Amino acid sequence: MRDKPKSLILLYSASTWLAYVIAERYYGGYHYVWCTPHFDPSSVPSINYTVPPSSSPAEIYRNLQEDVRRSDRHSAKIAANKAGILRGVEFKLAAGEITSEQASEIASIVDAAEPQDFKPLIFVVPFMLVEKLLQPVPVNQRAHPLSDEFIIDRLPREKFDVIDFDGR
Amino acid sequence: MFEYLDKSTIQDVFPAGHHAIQIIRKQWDFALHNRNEGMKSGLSSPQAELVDRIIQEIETTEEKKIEDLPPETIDKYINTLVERIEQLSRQELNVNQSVGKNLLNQLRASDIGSVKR
Repeated sequence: MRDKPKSLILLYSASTWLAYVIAERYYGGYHYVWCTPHFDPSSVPSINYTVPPSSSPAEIYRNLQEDVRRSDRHSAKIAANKAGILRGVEFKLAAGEITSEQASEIASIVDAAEPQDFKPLIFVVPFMLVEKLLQPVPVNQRAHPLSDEFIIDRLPREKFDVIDFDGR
Repeated sequence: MFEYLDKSTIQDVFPAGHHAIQIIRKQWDFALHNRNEGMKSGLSSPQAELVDRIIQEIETTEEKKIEDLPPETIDKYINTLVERIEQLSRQELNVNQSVGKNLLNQLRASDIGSVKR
């Protein structure tokens, strides 16, 4: 495991439309991002790929896209994303970064959201722009003890691109 | 199931619920396989207790370790857990669905919603 590798070009992260717009509207355009240099297991020799396929941005995207396409109201992946957004609300509220009124608005948005609002997005993050913002994921929270996974807890919008495959 | 979450606060339930979901989805491999040192890391004591109770309740109900549960069973528990989390969110954060729908429509129609820079 490399704590802060020196030779990377891009980092990738899978998110959802709803998480993205909430960060843009309520968190000043700063995004909480969990990222990896490996987009897809198929693009890396298996001996070098330590992120389990189910945790790769490509696979997270594909699985979520399928649930959204089917408008699956019982999707555990969508449910887990809701829990992640609400966990973020609690964190921002406790940190004094949002007001209780804003927390209520975000929770109301999550409550009213439809499956299509959880459409997956891919964030593409140039390593050079974020090198100083990267924090290695604590080993207890990695998909694999040796995997290359990083957290950027305040990633400004101007430092990454968003790929929206079906261009909503 | 998970009724005890209703008696807690969002300050404990939201972090604990999210943490437990990552573990039962098997996204946090190390935490799952190194329970004592990994499961509670980064959480306050009340939050860690909730994670323990959630995991124990599932394992007791199923009479199996989380590691041995099939994906459809895991999905069922994630949905049940998130229903509880949302219920608490409605109570403690004064959720108003019609306000939420209006805000959501505004976001869908905005430049932010079209993911333009």
